[in-house]
Amino acid sequence: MWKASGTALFDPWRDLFGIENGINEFLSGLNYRRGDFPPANVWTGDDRIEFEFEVPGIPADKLEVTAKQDTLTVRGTREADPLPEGATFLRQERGEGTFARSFSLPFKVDADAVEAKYRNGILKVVLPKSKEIMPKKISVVGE
Amino acid sequence: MTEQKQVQGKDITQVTPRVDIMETESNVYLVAEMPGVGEKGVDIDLQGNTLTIRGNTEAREQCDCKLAKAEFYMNKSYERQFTLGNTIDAAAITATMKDGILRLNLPKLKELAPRKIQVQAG
Repeated sequence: MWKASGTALFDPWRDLFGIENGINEFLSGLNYRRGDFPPANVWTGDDRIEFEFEVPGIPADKLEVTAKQDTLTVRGTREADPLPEGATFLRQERGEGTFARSFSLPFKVDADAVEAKYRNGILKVVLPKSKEIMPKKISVVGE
Repeated sequence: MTEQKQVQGKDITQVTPRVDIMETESNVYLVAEMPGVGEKGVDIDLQGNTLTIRGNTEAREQCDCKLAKAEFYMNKSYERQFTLGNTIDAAAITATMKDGILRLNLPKLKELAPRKIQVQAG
């Protein structure tokens, strides 16, 4: 009896629409390979590069961000919610396990000035350009 | 379904959030991933036995930069509907939102739990 009531919770059409989702995402210009985790948006400016990662439900202390001169690495662990006593899954779509993703940066960054913030399941990493390669204005002294 | 629409000049993409659903004898638990959505961006609606969860992502802080790579939509509206069995106690549903995860606790009606009926002498 419980089983029957449980199945009413989900909608079999969702799986079908899921396929459409994938196709739409493919056609919409987002270049994301399924399986790459976490998905990232990257922004570049004159003095910096910014990364945003979708890492919902991962506590900040389970995320490790490493910035070397020209590489950014994000590592972490996705953990499923602990299963309540005697519970069974009716649906399990969220991923779990460890992940690591590295990016080559287009320029040297100032590793000491890198900032990482976590909010609403989004990790934002701001990497300022290394001062060595920032253009310097040289004042001309008249003789 | 992924669907684009314009709201106040912003492109909003409607997406289906991923969920885990767990069931015990007394409760059903629903966990939905909505990265980018804060506590105020969530909306839970129950009409009859149709439960709708929605979440709108917060706007990104502006910076003087260009988007170089996009793997997820910036302005998203998550939406998903579920049909509840009539064993759920609609009035007792509770929800929390943390780190982009919406968690719903849907207790089952207590009256449906097996109970003993006392036979009275007539």
